[in-house]
Amino acid sequence: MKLLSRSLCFSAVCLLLSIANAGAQGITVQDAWIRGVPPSAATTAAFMTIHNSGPDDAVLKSADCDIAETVQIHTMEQVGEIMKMKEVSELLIPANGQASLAPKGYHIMLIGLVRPIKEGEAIPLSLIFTDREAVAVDAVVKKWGSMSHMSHH
Amino acid sequence: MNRNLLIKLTLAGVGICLLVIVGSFFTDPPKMTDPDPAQMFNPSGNFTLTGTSGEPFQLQDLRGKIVLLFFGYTSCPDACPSTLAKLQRAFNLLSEEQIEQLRTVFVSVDPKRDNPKVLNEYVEYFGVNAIGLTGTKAEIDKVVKAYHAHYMVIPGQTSNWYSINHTTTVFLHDKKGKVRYRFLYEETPEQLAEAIRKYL
Repeated sequence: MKLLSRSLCFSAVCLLLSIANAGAQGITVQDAWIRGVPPSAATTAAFMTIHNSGPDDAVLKSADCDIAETVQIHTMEQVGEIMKMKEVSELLIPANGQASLAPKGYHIMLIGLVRPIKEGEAIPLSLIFTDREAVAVDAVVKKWGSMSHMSHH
Repeated sequence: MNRNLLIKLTLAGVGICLLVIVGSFFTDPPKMTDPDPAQMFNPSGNFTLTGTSGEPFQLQDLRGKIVLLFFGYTSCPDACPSTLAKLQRAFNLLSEEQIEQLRTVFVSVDPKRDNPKVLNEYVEYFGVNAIGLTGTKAEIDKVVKAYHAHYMVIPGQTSNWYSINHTTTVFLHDKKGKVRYRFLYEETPEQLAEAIRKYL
């Protein structure tokens, strides 16, 4: 009886874990990079493409990064000749779709850098979703942005 | 009878005038021809601010160079680095000899955070023959106004952070200090390189 309850408990834990994994599954991140900035800079931004191959929409609500005091999701809007930036509370990654965080659009803003960042360095970020496990990403510091971004201009 | 005719004619005249006036609201306003940009933007061809080593800087010190001037701030997360990246790509399309004739002027609209030391480090990091300029808010506002540019400080949720909405246009000055071309944010490095070549 004791053995049965233990194995049931074990199965339940396994089941829960598999659901959590399934939740995180389907999210892949491509071409994550952080804008290189000089040592005294207090802020920078991270860009990437988040793919969701799962059947449900994913909602990115925030991100964690050890090198920044505050992390926010922002979007940019060009109004006439003026660039306006605003914080957004969440970013939807549609089921079987993707969300692009790229210059002139969405980015993850890293505010209050606690140390200088170096070109070529990979900085860990954790993407936090409302409905699934966090996804760990290594974003590479690049002064002039990624090649895919360059090809857009 | 004649009097009646006169009244009728007057009324008809007034009616036609009213029709023309009302009609004009529904048709396109007359197109303004592009004013001479040299007269529109910083017509004096000069201003004084503070350079990256704390010395006074005058725009006229750069006579004989093509000047690419834009407004921004070093904590800018996207627009300013994107503009600098675009300038870098435009520079890559030019020869060393041509690049030598260019100066980028980065006018900070954030005198609170961008002191000459921070500005110097920023412009040195990004290259593109850039000079960083700052000043008092009043001095900066005067320059912003001369270029019909705008900026607005947007307070952030955290005490250590605020952002600034600002004009992203790059003003290309010829070697005599006249604004000849306004490089808009959506334009490509190729378009900028082409405009630069025109005034070299």
